[in-house]
Amino acid sequence: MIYLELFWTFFQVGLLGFGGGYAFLPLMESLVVGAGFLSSSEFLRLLAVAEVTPGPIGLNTATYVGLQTGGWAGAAVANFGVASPSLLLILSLAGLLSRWREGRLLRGLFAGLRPVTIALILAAAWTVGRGGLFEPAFSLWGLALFALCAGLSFVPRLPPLALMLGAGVIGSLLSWGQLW
Amino acid sequence: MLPLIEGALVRRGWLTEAEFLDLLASAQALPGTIALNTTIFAGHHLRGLAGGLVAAFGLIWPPFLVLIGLAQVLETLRDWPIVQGFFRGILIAVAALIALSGIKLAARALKHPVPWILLGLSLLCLILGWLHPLGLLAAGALGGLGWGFWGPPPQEAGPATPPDPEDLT
Repeated sequence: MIYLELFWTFFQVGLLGFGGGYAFLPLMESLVVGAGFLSSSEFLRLLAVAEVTPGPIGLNTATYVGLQTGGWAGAAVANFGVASPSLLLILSLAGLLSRWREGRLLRGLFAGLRPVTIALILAAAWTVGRGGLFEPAFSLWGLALFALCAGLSFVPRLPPLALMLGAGVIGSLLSWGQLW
Repeated sequence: MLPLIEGALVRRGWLTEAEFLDLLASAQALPGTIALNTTIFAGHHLRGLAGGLVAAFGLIWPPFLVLIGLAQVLETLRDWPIVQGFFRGILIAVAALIALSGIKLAARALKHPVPWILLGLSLLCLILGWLHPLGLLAAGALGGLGWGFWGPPPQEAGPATPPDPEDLT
C-alpha cells in the first residue's frame, strides 16, 4: 500500500529530522531512495523545484516526492506525514517543553545533537552540490557559478530566491550554449 | 521564511519580539521543519489546540497548491535542455546557500573545540557513507544525554544567544 509507505517514510523524517529543513535532506534522501520511491538524481531534480517554491523546504520536498510517487493523494499523505510529528509533539507537550528546555538532560541532548545537525546541513550541501556540479559531467562553469553564488550570498538584502533564479537563468544559458 | 513569520506575528501585536524568540528557540530544539514548528507553537500559544491546528493548516496549504500547479507545468518541460540547465543552476546556488548557512551556524553555535571535532567526524561519516543519518542522530542524542547526565552542571552564564531568524529556513 503505497500511501501507508509514503506516510510512514515521511513520518520518520518529521520525527527524527532535527535541525530544520536543510538538515532533513540527507535523512530524507536516504529514506526515499532506500524505499525505492525515486532514484538519487530524480530526488535532486525535485529538490531544485521544491527550493524555488515558496514555503518550508522540508514540507515542499515531501509534497513533491509524494506527488511523483502517488499523485495528488500521495502528495497530501507525504506532506501530512512530515507535518504530523510536529503537530503531535507540540500540541501535546507545548507547556512542558518550555519548562524542560532548561533541564540538564535536555540541554545535554541538544548540545549533543548540535554538531550532528550542522554536519547534516553541510552534508546536504554536498549532496545538492554533487548533483549540480557533476551531473551529467563535471564542468568548470559549474564550479565558477558555485563560487559566484557563495560570494553573492554575502550581499545584504539580496533575497535567496533572486540568487537561485539568477543561477537558474545562467544555467539555462550554459545549456543553450552547450557549455556544460 | 522565518523573518516573514516574525513579521506576521509581531506586527499584528500577537506576540512580542521576546516571546517570538522564545518560541523560535523551542521550535528549533524539536524535530521537524522549523517554520512549521514555530507556527504551531505560536498558534498554540495564542489559542490552544485549535489555534495550533489552524495555524499549521494556514502554513501548509498555499505552498502545497503552488507546488502541485508548478509540478504539472515542469513535468511537461523536463526534457528540454534549457530547463535541465535551469535546474542545474538552481542546485548549484542552493548548494552554495546551504554550505554557507551551515558554516555560519557552526561559527555561531559551536563555542568549544570538542563540538568542532565532533562536527568534522560526523561530516566524514555522512559523506563517506560510514553511518546512516539515523545512526548519527542516535549517536549524537545518546552522547548528549550522557554529557547532560554525567557532565558538569550547566554554567550560570547569561541567557543563551537568541537564534537569528535570518539564518534559518
